[in-house]
Amino acid sequence: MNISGIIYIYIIVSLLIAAAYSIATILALHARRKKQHSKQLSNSYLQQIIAMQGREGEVNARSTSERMALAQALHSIMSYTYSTPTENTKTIARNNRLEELILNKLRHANNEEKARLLNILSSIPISAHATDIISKYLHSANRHIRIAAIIATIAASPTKAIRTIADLPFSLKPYDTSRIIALLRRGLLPIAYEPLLMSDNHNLLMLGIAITHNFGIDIADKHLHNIILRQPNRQIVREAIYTLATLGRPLGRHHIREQLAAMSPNIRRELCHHLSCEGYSLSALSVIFSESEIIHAEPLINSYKRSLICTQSN
Amino acid sequence: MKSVIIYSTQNAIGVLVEAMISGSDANFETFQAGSTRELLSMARVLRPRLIILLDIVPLLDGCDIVARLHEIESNGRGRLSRSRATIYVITWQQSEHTVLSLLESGIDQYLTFPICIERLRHKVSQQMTSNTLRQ
Repeated sequence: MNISGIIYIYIIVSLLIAAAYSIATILALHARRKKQHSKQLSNSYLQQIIAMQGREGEVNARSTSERMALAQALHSIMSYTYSTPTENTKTIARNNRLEELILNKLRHANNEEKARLLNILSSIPISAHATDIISKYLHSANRHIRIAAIIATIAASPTKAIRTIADLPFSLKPYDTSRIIALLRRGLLPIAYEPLLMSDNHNLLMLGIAITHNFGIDIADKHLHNIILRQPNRQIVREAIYTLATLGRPLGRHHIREQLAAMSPNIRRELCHHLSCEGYSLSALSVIFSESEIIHAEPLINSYKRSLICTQSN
Repeated sequence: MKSVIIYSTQNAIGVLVEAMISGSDANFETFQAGSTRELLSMARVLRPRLIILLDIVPLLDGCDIVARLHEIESNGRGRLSRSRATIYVITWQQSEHTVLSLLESGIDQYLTFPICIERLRHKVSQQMTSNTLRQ
């Protein structure tokens, strides 16, 4: 090949690279502009919906991007507030066919987008048909999709929440229960903690312990002691001990010390640190842990970080 | 006109809270700050009646935002101005330790999400119409 041929190839390849780079830049700019526009739309809908509180009114969206921004705005409002009148939400969702839009997008979305869309569905009133479609995602291999599907299913049918949680094909982790607690805080779920703490079902127990922990239910301590005494599952026992610590209860009882002795050194150290921050005194810790374990707790206990808290255990 | 500054690193939440506290009968203006520097420079210029923080990082990262806000209000002369801004914090944090740390750092009110729109609106409205001088 002669030199001019090489030069021609070089020029063509350079032009192709420049063209590809330009196209990529234009597409990226277009995507960014679309995202900003969607954010601005969503903010505008936020303001309109909140201004409508307690009054009748309409919020209309025409195009797909507008309806998606409206769904996002509704989701933000429902996530961050409680006691928001639901009549307006139902009307807006129905008039703008938001359920249909999100179910269509769900079919073709990637995993991350599926989880996001399912989260949005948890804030919109949906039909029984949609609930059936969402229930497929409870068996997804992706954990985030599974959790988002649980939240959407429970939000759609709060009276069946206990059954849904009990029948889940996997065990709930603390992060999962915290998502369910967020629904409780919005006033969506009529759940009593006591039956959950007496249940044999792993998921219901985890939820009951999480409710006790989050809402500081002091009078549940006898149930927590029963769990520590009888439960074979280490994870549940550990959660129960942490919850007792949050409630500021003494942890020196024989069955608790027995369970702690069976735990790994890492978990024991972690618990020791946690108890120091929760306000337990050195003498309370020395009943549960060995001298070598509490040697690092003393400086923490004496520091300003826990000087704000006075608990019964002191 | 009286002003309220809302500090939030997430614009959507700031807009949401702004929409919650504004109403047709609101007798104040709201402004958004996205960073600590912006918050301080707005506070210097606007001398707001109320500051709402939607993020606790400026309170716990060592920059001591409350003391710096008070310093602005004292005009750096060691004298407090007639009325200093009330500081509300609204976040998802529930743990007792964190809440007590925040109150210890000098904020006036701590609220958690999820929040009732009517209640927040009423609280802010009362705060803005209050004639009580803060020392």
